[in-house]
Amino acid sequence: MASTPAAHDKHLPGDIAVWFFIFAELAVFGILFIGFGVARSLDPETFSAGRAILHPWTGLINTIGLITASYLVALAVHHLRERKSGTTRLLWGAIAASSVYTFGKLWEYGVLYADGYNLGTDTFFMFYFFLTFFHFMHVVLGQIILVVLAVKVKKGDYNGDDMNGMESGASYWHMVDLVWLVLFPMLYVLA
Amino acid sequence: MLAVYIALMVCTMVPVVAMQAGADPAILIWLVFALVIVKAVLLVDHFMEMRHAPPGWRLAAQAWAPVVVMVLAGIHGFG
Repeated sequence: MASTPAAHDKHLPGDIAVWFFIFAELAVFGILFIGFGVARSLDPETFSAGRAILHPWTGLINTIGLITASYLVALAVHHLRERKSGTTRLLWGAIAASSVYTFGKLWEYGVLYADGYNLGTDTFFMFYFFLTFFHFMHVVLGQIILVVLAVKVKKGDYNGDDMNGMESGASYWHMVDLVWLVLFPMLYVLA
Repeated sequence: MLAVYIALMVCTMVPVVAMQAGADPAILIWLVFALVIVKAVLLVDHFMEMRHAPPGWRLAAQAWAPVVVMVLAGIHGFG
């Protein structure tokens, strides 16, 4: 019976340095989110009016894309660990699913800019563009990491012997998704 | 893993559908706060595989979303 490492032993998925980086990123996002909450409490009318302009279905589709990508990345980690075939396909599937988010976000920015909304419109849109673009850049970096993982798995550099690189990349990707799980309702529903 | 994925999808769609259906904003906001915490814990434990991590690391990863959400809820409640 094939052993699955860490099935019972306590094991941090990925490199410890990546986890310090992840926690630093989460701290920055957390502070920005709290800043958003404070600004909203000071001017709820502006935030409510801004939120009404956004398209919740676009945000929902973006969320579905990111969650699907996270699911496929998690499956890819399992497949590689258990030395099953299809890891590369799962990673490319995750990149494709996350592209729903990136293209959706670019489309949304385009529509908003065309309608005259930008960083200087009001406090809500300052936060909206800053927070979402900051997160967008993390998604793009995550996609680059997924491409690197897919190429390394395809070349056989990652074959399940050492899961550190794969788990580190996957953990970063899930962090990006975790941040969006808070950011999406904060902007599209609560504001 | 598939069950977690479906749960995350349902938790994501519920607030948007409720908002579109004209749910009471006062109820909606607390529903959203609760669902964000549920989703974050599911993601951290199952997709990030932190349920296999040492307890301190797991707690730190799990705590981020609840702490942020509780602060936001506090600001909302007192705002």
